[in-house]
Amino acid sequence: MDNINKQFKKGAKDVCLSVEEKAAMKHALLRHMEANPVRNGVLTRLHSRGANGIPSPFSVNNLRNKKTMPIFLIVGLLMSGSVSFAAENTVPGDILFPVKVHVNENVRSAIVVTPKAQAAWDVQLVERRLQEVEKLASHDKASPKAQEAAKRNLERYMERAKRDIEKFEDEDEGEHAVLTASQLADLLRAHEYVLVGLSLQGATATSTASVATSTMSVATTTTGVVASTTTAINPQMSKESFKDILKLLKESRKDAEKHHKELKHKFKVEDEDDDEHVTFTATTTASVGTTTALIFVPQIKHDDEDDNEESYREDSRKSEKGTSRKAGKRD
Amino acid sequence: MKSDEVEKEFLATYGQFSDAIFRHCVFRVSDREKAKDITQVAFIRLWDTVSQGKEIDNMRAFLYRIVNNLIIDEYRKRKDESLDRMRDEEGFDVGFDPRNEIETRDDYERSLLLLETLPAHYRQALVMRHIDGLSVKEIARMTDESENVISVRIHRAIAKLTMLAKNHGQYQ
Repeated sequence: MDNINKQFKKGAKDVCLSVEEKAAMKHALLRHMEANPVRNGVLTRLHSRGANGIPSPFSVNNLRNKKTMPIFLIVGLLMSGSVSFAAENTVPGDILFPVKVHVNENVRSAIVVTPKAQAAWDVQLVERRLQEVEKLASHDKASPKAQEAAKRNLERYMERAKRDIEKFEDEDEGEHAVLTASQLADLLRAHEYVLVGLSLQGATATSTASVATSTMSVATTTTGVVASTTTAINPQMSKESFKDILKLLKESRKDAEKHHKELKHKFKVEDEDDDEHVTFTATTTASVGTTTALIFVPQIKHDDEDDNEESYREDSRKSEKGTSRKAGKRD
Repeated sequence: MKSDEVEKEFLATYGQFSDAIFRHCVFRVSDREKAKDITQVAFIRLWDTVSQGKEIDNMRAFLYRIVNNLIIDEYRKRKDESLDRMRDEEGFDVGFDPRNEIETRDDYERSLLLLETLPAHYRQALVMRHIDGLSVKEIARMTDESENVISVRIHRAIAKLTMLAKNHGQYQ
């Protein structure tokens, strides 16, 4: 019971008017009272204490009353990881989405110390926003408003990551700039594939088993795939909004790759060590885009080094066997 | 009662209930500044009533009544703004530094976020029961509802919060 009392005291302590606020309010009241005085000769009866007989739950005596169950306890019980955890998979439009952003992400941001780690975390935040966009894109019942919001969020967070890179650049932190730029470019590339795959597939978010069978048939007809790109867009999803998102992603990816290249040149940084890279998994709940996207890979032009082309082609061979794929990983 | 006695009683009432009323408002509107405004207006209206000679048997109940009306007004005002303000992250400022915010992100703020998801009547019942510590009977009296209705609302509020956790926070 001590624990409850402590929680209760803590909650009560946090939520009250400060001394200054109370005084300020009192002053305002006094001014009002002066401007609106009691009507003369009027009899009034005021019962301010005791008559209501309602004990204040915040008085010391009542802390011993075991009947009062503070909401902090209820919420605390619910909160003991489970709500935060539940919030992790939400997207804009879900009730717990604000918890995901304002609580979970804040908590994780708080433990970040160095600018380098902050930048890496900001790139991971971009990834989270990308996943939300993809999740909404593959869900046939997604509201366009939520999709719009997800797109806006994505833009905002990409901006933030870009700013981090620029800051490194300004401060002459060549290695950090290049590293973060490459993380961002990799991430965007990987997710562009996923979205392209989603547009190819034109499927709704049904079970992975059925998705797998349909992608297998696509995998066998290589020429057929290219032709179907323009037509097979998820019919439930607004064509416009999907196109917008894909366009945004493409442009951002090009931008990021360009910037990365420039930075590498500017700071004369050779290709980074692989163990520095954060590996991004381009998975969605529908797992729709992965295998089909790989077929499409050769059509996307990079001006990048040869080793990239090879690693993707290798991956695509692997996936035809039906294994899941990690995109954006350099071998 | 002489006018200075009226004043004295009123100010004593303020001293006694300002925190509780403020706290109630905070948990109803999830906004500290708004809560302060509402609290102040409530006491102003209380003064207007007593200074005109009206009798009030139960100050606390009266304050709750005023505050509840003010809160309903506030909800109506908000309806015109984006209903999904919290859900689609409108106005989320990328510029803020989360590391500075983390000290304030304690359980109480989380509870405020969760409370926002409850329908107004459930929320009112829940807050009055578990923040204000009022009994179901008292709440029923103050809100002109039956005890049964209040009981049901409280249970549904808790059930909803529980459901949120179970359903991973997603709409069905």
